[in-house]
Amino acid sequence: MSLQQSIQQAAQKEYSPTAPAIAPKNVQMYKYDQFDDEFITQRIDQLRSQINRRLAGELSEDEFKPLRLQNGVYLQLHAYMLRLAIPYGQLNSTQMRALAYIARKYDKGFGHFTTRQNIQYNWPALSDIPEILEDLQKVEMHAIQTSGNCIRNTTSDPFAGAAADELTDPRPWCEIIRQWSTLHPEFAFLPRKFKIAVNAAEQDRAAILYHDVALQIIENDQGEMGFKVYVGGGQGRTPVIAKLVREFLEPQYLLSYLDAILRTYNMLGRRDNLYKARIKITVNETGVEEFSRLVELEWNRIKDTGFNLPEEQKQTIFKHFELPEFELHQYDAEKFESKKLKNNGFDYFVKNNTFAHKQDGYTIVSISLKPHGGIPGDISADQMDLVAQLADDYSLSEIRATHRQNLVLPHVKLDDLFILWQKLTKAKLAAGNIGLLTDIIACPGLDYCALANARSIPIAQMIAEHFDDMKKLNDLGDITLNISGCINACAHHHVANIGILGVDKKGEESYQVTLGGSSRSDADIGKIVGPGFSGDEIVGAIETITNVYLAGRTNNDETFLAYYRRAGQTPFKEALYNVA
Amino acid sequence: MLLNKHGETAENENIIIKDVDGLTLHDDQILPYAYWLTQKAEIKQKLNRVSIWLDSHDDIEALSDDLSSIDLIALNFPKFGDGRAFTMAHLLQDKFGFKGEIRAIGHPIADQAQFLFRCGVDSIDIPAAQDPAIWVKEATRMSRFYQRSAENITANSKY
Ligand code: HEM
Ligand code: SF4
Repeated sequence: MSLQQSIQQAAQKEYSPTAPAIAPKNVQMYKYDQFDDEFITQRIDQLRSQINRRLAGELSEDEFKPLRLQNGVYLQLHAYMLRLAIPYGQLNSTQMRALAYIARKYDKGFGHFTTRQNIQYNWPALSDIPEILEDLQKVEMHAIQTSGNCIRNTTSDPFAGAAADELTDPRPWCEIIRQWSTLHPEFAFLPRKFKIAVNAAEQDRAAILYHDVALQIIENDQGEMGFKVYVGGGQGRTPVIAKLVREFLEPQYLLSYLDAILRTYNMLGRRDNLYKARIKITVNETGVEEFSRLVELEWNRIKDTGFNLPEEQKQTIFKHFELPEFELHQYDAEKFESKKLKNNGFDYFVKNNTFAHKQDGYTIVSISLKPHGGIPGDISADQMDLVAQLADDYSLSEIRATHRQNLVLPHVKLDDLFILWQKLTKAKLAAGNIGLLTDIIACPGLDYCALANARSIPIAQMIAEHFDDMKKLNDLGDITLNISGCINACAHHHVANIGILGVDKKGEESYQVTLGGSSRSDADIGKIVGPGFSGDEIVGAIETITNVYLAGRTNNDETFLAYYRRAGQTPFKEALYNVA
Repeated sequence: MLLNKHGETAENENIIIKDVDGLTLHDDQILPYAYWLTQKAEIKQKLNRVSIWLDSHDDIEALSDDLSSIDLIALNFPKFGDGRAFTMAHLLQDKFGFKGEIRAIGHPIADQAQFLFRCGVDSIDIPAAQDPAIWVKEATRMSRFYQRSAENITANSKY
């Protein structure tokens, strides 16, 4: 079956026969023009020739590596892995159906949403990859720069363009950065990978301060919009919070300022040690004052002669993101409240999985990919098709991926929420645990990853099984728990309120616990609480930690993090290690 | 074999000098940066055409006063992953206004050819063991770009 047939069939099979076959037109997102399409064609041709040269032995694995990486092709424990870009986490329903098609045809019927708003397939054959990319091109997607020592997919707020708490829509700026960074000739062989994140909301839902460059959109005293620029955040072995380098950057200078940062990093970044090559180390070793002095020096040289996006072309990009036409409608608050009273599950879902929309009568709905005992971030092809259909029926055909490995339907009418919840429940996608202890981020760990010291997914599953009482979970409230299988920290354990790190202790799996991390605007790095726990002990340790919090908090409004910041590690240490 | 941005090849007449012991100066030589720094006067006096090569960690700022007396600057790729030459080429041309020829030498790979040209490199010294046909193909692989090329040229670029 071809991609088109599959999309058509998925769209018509069980649901509305009017669903579009290919790219829905009404979605407010960037749409390719002829230039973009030709660009992708040429890029796929290039990768095909590189793969052929590799298969013919003309390219060594060493030489092939940076090329395949820049196209999202990784070598994993069992096979090649393909990582596709979901620019700033936004998808339309047709794209989601294409992802389902790829999962069925080239993988084992699954996809895995990552912590960088991308999707990964774990089982594609190398020789199939050009074909997969051609299918993706038909729905305006690609895998360019999803890996390698280059500028990666720009990430942003998954609620962008919908959230009540945003100053402005960050997506057009992300798109401008996407285009500028795509095959940027000067920055394709940097010392190390480079990630940019943009946020425009009050809450930080994109962990921007852990990116190489963080752009917070702000308004100055004159009411003008601009960027607050931070540089040098990152995770991995050495977690670092990005540092402020510019209080206010006029938006017309965004690209020349980024050029200046990247150019400075490309020259200064260390190339002698893989673990010291990220810009976080460059900034620490150079000193943030000196580093920003060098950036400003370069920027002043190029700000007026170098490249900045002309206003007219900026406007063209912005037009793609104009708000959709929301239906003005009166939602029935009374009926809504009575449904909540009658349905515990719905009540929790509304409480945890919805967020205030900028339009009255609408809400933002998160779909948890952390079902009870499931694999965090995993989704089956059938579930993808269902989410696509739900997006068509209830969310103006739009879907988002979040950095906590969940999905979002950004534009849902409150009146539709109950039926949407019912349909999600049927598909086992209605877990009402967004932001709760079981909304766990876990890396692949020992089950898939060659670098792992310990299992991650099974630990996440054990914790989810143990904490299966929704009442208790809601009582615990807002807590983040992340599990990485080794020090590379793919699951961001350092920045979780409760972090679990798998380490190898004389050939045995051991789990080290950190407390007090945060990836929001009050960013902090968690601290190790004491000696590690075995796989058998770790769930008990988490239970003890949550009990210390429940017993110690002043009231229900004091979150786990707030309590930890007040009480420190002592009560946890006492309870975990029986020390007086 | 040399390659230019139009994908044309030419014989390479130059010799890259690594060891300067007992060197007799000659116009076809590409001299080491350190040697140039200490022997500037003599080199300028003896040669009609001055060519020097820089390693990726060499400081191009230190050259900025001398650029008018240099005809060719070769930028070495100690390994292809060391991407400093891209920025060095940009700075030489855009910041220091170097008007001579910029060449990539050492161990670049074919898939970097077009990036190099777009950063201001004029010629690439194709590594000996490699098939020039692939380089010729890659030199003009893409004809759609999201950035302007060196000297702000907008041909085939989106903006
Ligand atoms: C199974 C194969 C995987 C391998 C071998 C792997 C390997 C690595 C390594 C070596 C690093 C450290 C890079 C550095 O410090 O510069 C890293 C970082 C990271 N990985 Fe993975 N990873 C894998 C899967 C994943 C998955 C599935 C995700 C998403 C769920 C992921 C997300 C990340 C993130 C977000 C970082 C941190 C980036 C930062 O430093 O800011 N990785 N990975
Ligand atoms: S954190 Fe370690 S074990 Fe987990 S995916 Fe990353 S490299 Fe593998």
